[in-house]
Amino acid sequence: VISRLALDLRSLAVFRIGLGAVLLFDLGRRSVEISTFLTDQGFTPRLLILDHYWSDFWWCLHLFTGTLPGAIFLLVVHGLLALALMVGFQTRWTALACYLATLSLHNRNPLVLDSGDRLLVLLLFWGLFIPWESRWSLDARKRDSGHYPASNSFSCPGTTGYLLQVCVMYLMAGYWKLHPIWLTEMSGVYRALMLEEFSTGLGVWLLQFPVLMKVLTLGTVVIELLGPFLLLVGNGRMRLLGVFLLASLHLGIALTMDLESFPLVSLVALLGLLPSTVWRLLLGDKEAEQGDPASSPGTNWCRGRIASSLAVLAITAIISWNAMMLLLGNRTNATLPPSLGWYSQTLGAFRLVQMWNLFSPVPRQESNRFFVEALLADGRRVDLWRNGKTLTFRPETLASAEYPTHHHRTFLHHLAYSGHPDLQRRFLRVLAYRWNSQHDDSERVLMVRLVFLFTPVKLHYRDSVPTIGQAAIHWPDPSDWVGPPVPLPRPESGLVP
Amino acid sequence: MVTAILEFWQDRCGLDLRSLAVARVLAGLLTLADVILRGLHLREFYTEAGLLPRPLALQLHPSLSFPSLHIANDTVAYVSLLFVIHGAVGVGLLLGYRTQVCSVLVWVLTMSIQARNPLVLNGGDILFSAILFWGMFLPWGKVWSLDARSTEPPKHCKVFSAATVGLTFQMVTLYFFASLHKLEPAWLQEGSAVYYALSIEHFATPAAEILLRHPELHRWMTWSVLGFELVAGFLLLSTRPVVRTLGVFGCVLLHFGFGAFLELGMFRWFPMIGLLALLPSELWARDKTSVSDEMRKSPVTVMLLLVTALTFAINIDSLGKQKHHLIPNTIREFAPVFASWQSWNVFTGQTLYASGWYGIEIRTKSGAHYDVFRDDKPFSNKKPRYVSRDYPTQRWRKWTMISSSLLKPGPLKQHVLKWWLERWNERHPDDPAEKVQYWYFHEKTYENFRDAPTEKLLLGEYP
Repeated sequence: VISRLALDLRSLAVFRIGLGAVLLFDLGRRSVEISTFLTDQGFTPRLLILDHYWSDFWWCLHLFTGTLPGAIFLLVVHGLLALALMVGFQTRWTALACYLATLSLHNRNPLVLDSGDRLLVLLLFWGLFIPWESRWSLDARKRDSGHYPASNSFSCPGTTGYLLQVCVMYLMAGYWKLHPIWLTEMSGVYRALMLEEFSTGLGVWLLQFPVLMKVLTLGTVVIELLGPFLLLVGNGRMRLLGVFLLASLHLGIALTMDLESFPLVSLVALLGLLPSTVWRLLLGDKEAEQGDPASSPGTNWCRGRIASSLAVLAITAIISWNAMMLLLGNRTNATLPPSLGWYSQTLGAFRLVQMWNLFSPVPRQESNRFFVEALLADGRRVDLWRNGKTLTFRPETLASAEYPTHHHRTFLHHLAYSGHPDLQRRFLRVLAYRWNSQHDDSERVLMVRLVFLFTPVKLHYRDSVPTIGQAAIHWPDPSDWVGPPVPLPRPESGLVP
Repeated sequence: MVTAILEFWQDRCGLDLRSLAVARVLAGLLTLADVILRGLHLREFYTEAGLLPRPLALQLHPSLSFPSLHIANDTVAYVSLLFVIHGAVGVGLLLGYRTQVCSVLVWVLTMSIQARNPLVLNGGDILFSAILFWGMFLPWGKVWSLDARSTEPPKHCKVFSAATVGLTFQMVTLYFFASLHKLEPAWLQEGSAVYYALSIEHFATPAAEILLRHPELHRWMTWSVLGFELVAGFLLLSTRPVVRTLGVFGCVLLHFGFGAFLELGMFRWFPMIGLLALLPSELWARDKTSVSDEMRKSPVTVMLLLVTALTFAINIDSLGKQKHHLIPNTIREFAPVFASWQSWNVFTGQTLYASGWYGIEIRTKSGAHYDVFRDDKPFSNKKPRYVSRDYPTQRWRKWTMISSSLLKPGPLKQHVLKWWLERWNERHPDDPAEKVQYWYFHEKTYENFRDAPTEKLLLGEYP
C-alpha cells in the first residue's frame, strides 16, 4: 500500500515552486485592494473584525498595524517569504513562515476569503510535512547529495496526508453533487453558469447549447468521483490519467467562470501528484523505480517521530471532519452539534475546516448584481460601485467583470446577504466618504443605499428576467435622511427608475 | 587616517569575551525574572480579560511599535504559552545554549510584550530592549556557555565590531544625556532635586523617609549625582583598566543608591548588563590581550552604525534645545524597533514636583465604601503610611500613573472603571457594587518642606 501512495520528489519540488508562485499571485491581487480590505481606513477596520468576526482560537499578527504603510510592509515581507519558498531557501522555516503569514492574513479579513484562499492555506499546511526541498532548491544545492533521499519515489505521513487531502476534496465535491439536479435533470453546470456574477463571456455563450450542458454536468460528477481513485492506485500511468482529467475539469471551470485563484491553486495541487512516468518521459530518466521507497537510504526529517505523528494527527482530523460532514449533512446544510464546537474551532484555528460543496447540491437559485445608489446634493443619482457613473439599472458590461477582484465579489456577497449592520453601514459610509473627498461640496453625497438586482435562474435562460430587490441597506439611517426620501424603483416600471 | 581612527575606537569600544559572557548570563537571568514578575499579573495586563484588552490597545496607536506576537491572540492560554516560551529562551540565553537563536527570540519576545502593553513600561525597559538588540549581534556566547563546549576556544579575548561600538555608545549615551537633561535649576543652582525626588511618594521607600530628615545632605547628593553622571560616560570610555572599572562600579553604585530610596522595579538591574559588558580584560587575566577586529565592510555593519547614530541623534532631539528635530518624523516612527526612541529625562521637569496617591472607591448596594486599590479595605481619605507600597509590582505603579494621565473621557476610562467594578462583583457576589469612583489625591511638593494642601480630584466614575 505504501508504495502505491508514494509521490515523486520532483513533482513535489514543482508543487513547492508552483505554490510559492500562486501565493505571490495572490499577494499581487491583494496589493490592488490593500487599502480597501487591510487597513483601518477601508471597509474592514481591525476593531470591526475583532468585534463581529473573530474567534478566540484565531491567530493574527496583522492586527498590530492598521495603517497603509504597515499593511504594505507586511505584504512585502509576505511576498519575500513566498519567493524564498519558490527558490527553496531554508525551506522548512520558510514554509512554516509562509503558512503562519497566510493564516494571519486570512484571519485579518475573513470576509473576503474565496475557495482559492481556503485551498491555498490548506496546501501550505500540508507543505509543512513534505520534503519538497529535496529537489530543485537552494537547500538541495547547498547540502551534499547524501542528505536527501536518492530515490525519486518517496512516501511519508506528510505526503500521504497531502494526497489524501486532494482526494477527499474531489470525493466530497462529487458526493455533494449526488442530487437530481446533477444526475437526472443534469442542469448543474447550466445553473452554475446562469450565475452571471461568475460567468465569463464564454460561459454565457455556452448557455445556448442545452445538450452540451448536460454532458458537462455528468462529466463533472464522473470526474470528481472517479479521479481520486485514479490518483490512489499508484505512482504510474493511471495517476497521470487522473491528474489529466481533474486538471481539464479545472481548465474548463477557469474558462467559463471567473473564480480567479481557485483553478490556479487546484492545478498546483495536482502538479505535486504527477507520477514519475512524466519525469521519465520529459527528462529521459532511466532510473529504475524498484524497491520499497520506504527503505530508501538516508533518514529524513519528515519521517521523524514529531513530524510523523503531527501529520498522522492532521490526517485523522481532516478525514474525521469530512466523514462527519458526510454523516451529519442532509446534503443541503451540514451543521455540527454544539457539543462539537471545540472540534471545529480547533480545526478552524489551523484553517483545516473544509466544506467542498461548491455549487452543490443545488447552485444558487438567483444571480445578482449590486448597485450603490447615491443621491447627490445637486440632485443627481450616481452609482458609487461603478466609479460614480450615472445610475442605471441596465449596465452594459458583463456582470462578472464589475468586480476589481474576486475578493470584492465574495465580500459584497457576504455584506449584502448576511453582513453585520455595522459592516454594512461602514461600507456605505466609506464609499460616500471617498466620493466626498474627491468632489466639491455642491456634489456631496446626501445618502447612499445598496440595491440588488435579482435574476432568478429559470430552466430556459430566456425566461430569466431581472427584478429589483426590496432589501436595501441605507446610510444614513432612513430617519436621518436629509431631504425627501426617494422611492425605490418599482419592479413593474422596468429596469429604468 | 582611517586606520588611526579605527584603532582609537578599537581601544575604547573593544569588549572582552568574558565580560560579554557575564553580561549574557545577567541578561538571561533578568529575562527570566522579568517574565516571572510580569506573569504574576498576566491576566490583568496582557489578555482580553484584563485592563487593556486588545481593541483598546489597538485604539491607543494606529500601529504598535513592533509586530507583536502577543497581539495575535488575546486568550489567557495563548499568552501563558508565550510566557513559558519566553522564560525558556531566557534560560537558554543564561546557559548559552544556541545563543544566537535564543538572543533573537528573547529580543523578539521582549519587544513583543512591550508593544502589547506600553502603559506598564519605564525607562529601564527601553534600555533593556536596546541592550537585547545589540546582544543579537554580540559574540556573547563564545565563552562560558554550552555552545563553547563544542567549539574551539577563541584565539582573541577581545572583540571589536559595530555591535560592541553600539553597546558602548548606548551606555555612554544613557549617562551623558541623563546628566544633560538635569541641567536645570533644581539640579544646578538649588540642588534640591534629591529632596523633590524623595518626596514623590509613588516611588519613595521607607529609607527615603529617613534621608528626607537630613536636608543638609540633599544638596551635596544632588550635585554629586549630576557630577558623576556628567563624567561617567568618559570613565566608561577610558582605556585605562582602573578608570574603566571605577566607572562601571560607580554606575552600579549609583543605580543601587537610587534603588535604595526609590522603588523603580528592575530599573537598577537592566543597566548592569551593559555595564558588566564594559569591564576591561585586565580584570580577568594579566597577560597581553589581543583584539579580533570584526569591523568589516558589510551591510550589517553599516546598519548597526546607522542605528547608533540614530540613537544619538534622537537623544539630542529629546533635549529639545534646537528648533527642528534632527530626525524627520518618518524615520522616528521606526526608531522604537531599535529601542532608539529614548529620552533619559528621568526625575527632571514637572514630574519632580508632583506627588500624591490613588484610591478607587466602590460604593456597594448596602451603602458601604471600599477601596479596591487597597485590598478592599474601607475607603478613607487618609493618606496611606507608605504610598509606594500600594503597588504590588512596578508594572502596577507605571500602569496606574500612566493610565490615569490618559483617563480622559473615552473607551479606556470606561473600560478601566468597569473592570474594577466587575472585579469587585466577582469577589463579593453577596454585596454587589453600585458605583465606582477613581480618585487622585494630589499633593504638590513645595520647597523646604512647606506644607501643601491635598486636592481630591475625581478622575472618573462609572456608571
